[in-house]
Amino acid sequence: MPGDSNYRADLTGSKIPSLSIIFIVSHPKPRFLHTSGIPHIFFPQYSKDEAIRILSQNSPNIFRTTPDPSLEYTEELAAEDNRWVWTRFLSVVWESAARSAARDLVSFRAVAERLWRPFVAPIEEGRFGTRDFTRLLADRRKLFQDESMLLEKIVPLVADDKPAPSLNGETSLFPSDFHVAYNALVHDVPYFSRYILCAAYLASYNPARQDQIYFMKSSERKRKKRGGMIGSGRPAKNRKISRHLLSPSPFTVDRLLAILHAIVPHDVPQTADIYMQISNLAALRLLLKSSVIGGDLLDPGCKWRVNFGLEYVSTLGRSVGFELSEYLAGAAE
Amino acid sequence: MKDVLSHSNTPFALVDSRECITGRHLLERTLAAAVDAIDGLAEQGEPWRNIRCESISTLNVHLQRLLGGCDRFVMVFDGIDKQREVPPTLLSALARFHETVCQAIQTIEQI
Repeated sequence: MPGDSNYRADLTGSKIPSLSIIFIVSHPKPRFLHTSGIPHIFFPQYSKDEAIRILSQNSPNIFRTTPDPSLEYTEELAAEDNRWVWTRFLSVVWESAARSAARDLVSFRAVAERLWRPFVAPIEEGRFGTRDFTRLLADRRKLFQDESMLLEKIVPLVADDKPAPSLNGETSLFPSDFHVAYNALVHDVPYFSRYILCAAYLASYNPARQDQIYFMKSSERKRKKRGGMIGSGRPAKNRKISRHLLSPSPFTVDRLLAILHAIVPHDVPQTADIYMQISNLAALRLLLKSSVIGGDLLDPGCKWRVNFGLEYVSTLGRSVGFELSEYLAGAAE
Repeated sequence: MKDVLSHSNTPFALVDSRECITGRHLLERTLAAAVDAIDGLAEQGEPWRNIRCESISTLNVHLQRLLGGCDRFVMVFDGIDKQREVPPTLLSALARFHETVCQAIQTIEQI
């Protein structure tokens, strides 16, 4: 049944019920049939649970070839695992893409089927068990961030000569015909928004106590010695884990603005509506709120953090001529 | 939709507007679908195979003759609001089909 259609049955009443006409309509105009009192049935869109329950009736197989029977992996176990993983996979697909972009059942199923094979490839290879869903999801989360899964193409996209660089040095997750040009990773954000994003990354990943060293004009010479003497002359302790691998720390808006004014090489004009750009970036989910006090977006007590990684922001910075690695605390690899 | 109708034992014809390129194509397909549905029930013979259907009025007349012996018949138009190159009054005309078709049957019965 189509998920979003009106069904109009124009049934005859008093005359001989010989002919009945039914219209299936997606978007009826206001004075559609120039008559009134038409009997109709309205089909609302499926909710998340309903759509997932419908689609989990037939789950595709994880293993394309049946594994060795000596492993005691029977058909029932396989079907059970398929259903288990497929249901959880569907809810992840819904949250990431389908809720906004592939709302009706047909396109939801198409997106899910397109992503299924790359998603369960690690299970097939044997790197994860069939019930190890959280680790598999963490490993494959880049699949859900790429928007090319929403496109249906008969002609494969042109693959670049060099392989797609990725955040952890792995090879591209998709086969070459799904490869998106690397430049597409950088969104088309305006000039000051790119500086805001760079400043936000620095605010998240630089400890606050080192702000004075990195961002004050009077201490430019000290910045040259990265990882050198800080404060009372003690050598810097080596961090066991590089800071970039940890999750970003929260910062307040005024710290962001202070860093922004420090890194922009010219004066920020008054007409550049910084707060509007910050709220746009928040709507794009590039900046996230860590804590909400009173629900106000620009409340001074509210803390923010970034939602992107080093590769993205260094590309962004290079596009405006800002070298991020000069300002980052710790060794930037 | 098809499952519901086939379970209800009523002869029906389903026409998909996505596949119909113009308004006239839609009418021809409607008539063809109705002929196919009726053919399933009783032998109708060759004349119905080569029928032309240029406009709504011809469709009306053909349907009257075709459905003369039928007690009930259901016609379903799928996605009719997305039909291409349609005369604007097509939908209202189709909606009022049942009046004319039934009246013709009443006159036949009187005779």
